Amino acid sequence: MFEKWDRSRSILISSLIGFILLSWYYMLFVMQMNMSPVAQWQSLDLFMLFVMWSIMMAGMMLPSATPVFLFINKINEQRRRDNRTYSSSLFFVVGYLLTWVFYSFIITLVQWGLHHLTLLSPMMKSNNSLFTALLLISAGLYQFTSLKQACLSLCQSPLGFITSQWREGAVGTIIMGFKHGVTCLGCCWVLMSLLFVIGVMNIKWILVLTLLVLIEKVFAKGELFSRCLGGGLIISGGLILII
Amino acid sequence: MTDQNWQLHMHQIESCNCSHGCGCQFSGYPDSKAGSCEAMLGFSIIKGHLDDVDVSGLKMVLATMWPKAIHEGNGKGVLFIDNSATEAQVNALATIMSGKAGGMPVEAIASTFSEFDGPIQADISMDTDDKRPSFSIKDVLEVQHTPLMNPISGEEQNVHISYPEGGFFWNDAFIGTTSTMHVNHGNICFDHTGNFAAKAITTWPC
Repeated sequence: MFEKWDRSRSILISSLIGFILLSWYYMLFVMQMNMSPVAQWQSLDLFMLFVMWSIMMAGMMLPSATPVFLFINKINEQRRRDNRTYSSSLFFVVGYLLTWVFYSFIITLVQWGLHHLTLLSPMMKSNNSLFTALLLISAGLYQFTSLKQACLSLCQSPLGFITSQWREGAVGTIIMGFKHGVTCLGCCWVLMSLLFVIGVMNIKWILVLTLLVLIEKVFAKGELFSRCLGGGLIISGGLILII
Repeated sequence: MTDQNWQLHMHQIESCNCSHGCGCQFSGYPDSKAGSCEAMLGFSIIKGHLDDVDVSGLKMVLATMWPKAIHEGNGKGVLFIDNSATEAQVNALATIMSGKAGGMPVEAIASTFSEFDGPIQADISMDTDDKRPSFSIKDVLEVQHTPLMNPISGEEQNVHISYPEGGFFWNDAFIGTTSTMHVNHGNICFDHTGNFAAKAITTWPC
C-alpha cells in the first residue's frame, strides 16, 4: 500500500483534484461573459473569453487523461526510488494543459468570427439551424475518420508513445505532455466545438461532453462508443435539417 | 533518450491472450475476451551487455499477467534466466529487466508490476525459427508458435506487422498463432492457445 500512495502520487492526485474542482467551481459559479453584441466587445472581453475556454478545457479534459498522468508518475517514482534522474509528472500535466490553452486561443478567435457572422447569438449559442446541423453532421463524420480513431487509440493508452518518445528533464517532460495533449486534441477538438450548438456556457452540456470524452478514452470499448456517438450526431444533425 | 549503459539485441518470441493483432501493440487496450493481458515472452540474446558484463548467447523468459490494460498497472510477472548464466550475468539481466538501468520499453513495463518473482534460473529450451519458434521450461511453461493458415487453401500465410518508425516492442515481426501456450508458476498461471503470436528481432533500448 505504501508504494501505491507514495508522496509524488499523492501530490499529483491532489493537484489534479484541486485543479479539476477549481475549474468546475469557476464554470458553475464564476463564469460570466459579456453577452452584449460582439460589436461592443472590447479586447478584455475577448481575453476573458480565452480564459474561460482555457479553464473549461482543463476541467473537461483533465479527468480522462488521469490514467496517463498516473503512469508517467509511476515511471518517475520508480526512477526516484532507484536513485536515478526523474522529473515531476506535474510537468507532463503542464505540457498537456498547454495544448488545450493553444486550442482555446484558436477557438476563441473562431467564436469571435462566428459572432461577427451572426451564426452565434450573443448568448453564445448557434442561432442558425443550418449551421447547427452542419456542425453536428461534421462532428459525427469526424468520429469515423482514421485520424480520429488513430488519435483515440494513442490517447487511450500511452505505452507505445512513452516507449518511443520518452524525454528527460523538466522541459522534456513538458514536451511529452504537450505531444500527448496533441493526440487528445486530434481526438476531441470537433466534439468540443459542439458547445457552439448548445451554448458555450451551458454547464449541463459541458458535463455531458466531459462524460462522453471520458467514456471514449477510459473504457476498453471506447472506439466502438466513439462510432455510436458519431452515428448519433449525424442523425441529430439530419433531423434538424429535415425539421 | 539518455544513453544507456546496456543494450540487448535479441530474438523475441511473444504471445499473449489477445486475438490476432494484439491491441497493446497498437497502443490501445488488450482485445482479449477478459480485457486482461496475459503474455509470455522468450528472449534469445544475440548480442548484449550491461556495462562490461557480456550477456550474449543467453536466454530468458518473462511470464506476465495484467488484470486490465498494461498501463493501468497491478501486473504480476516472473523472470526466468538460463541456467548457464553466471551470477554476474544474472544480476545484469535482472537489473536491465527490472528497469533499474533505465531505457525503454523495460522501464515503462517494469513500472506496471506490483508483484515480481525472480530471477529464477532454469533450463530453458528455445527454438528461434521465424515461423515456428518455441520455448519451454520443463514442468513450468511451454510455448509453441505456428503460422497462420489460409482458411480456404490451407496454405501457410506470411503475415508481418511492421512499424517503420519504431513500435512498442519491435519494428517488424512475423505474426502467427499459438498451438501451445501455458504456464504454471505460483500466482502466474494461464493456458491460452490460438491467440496472438509474434516473432521478431529487436534491439532494446528502443
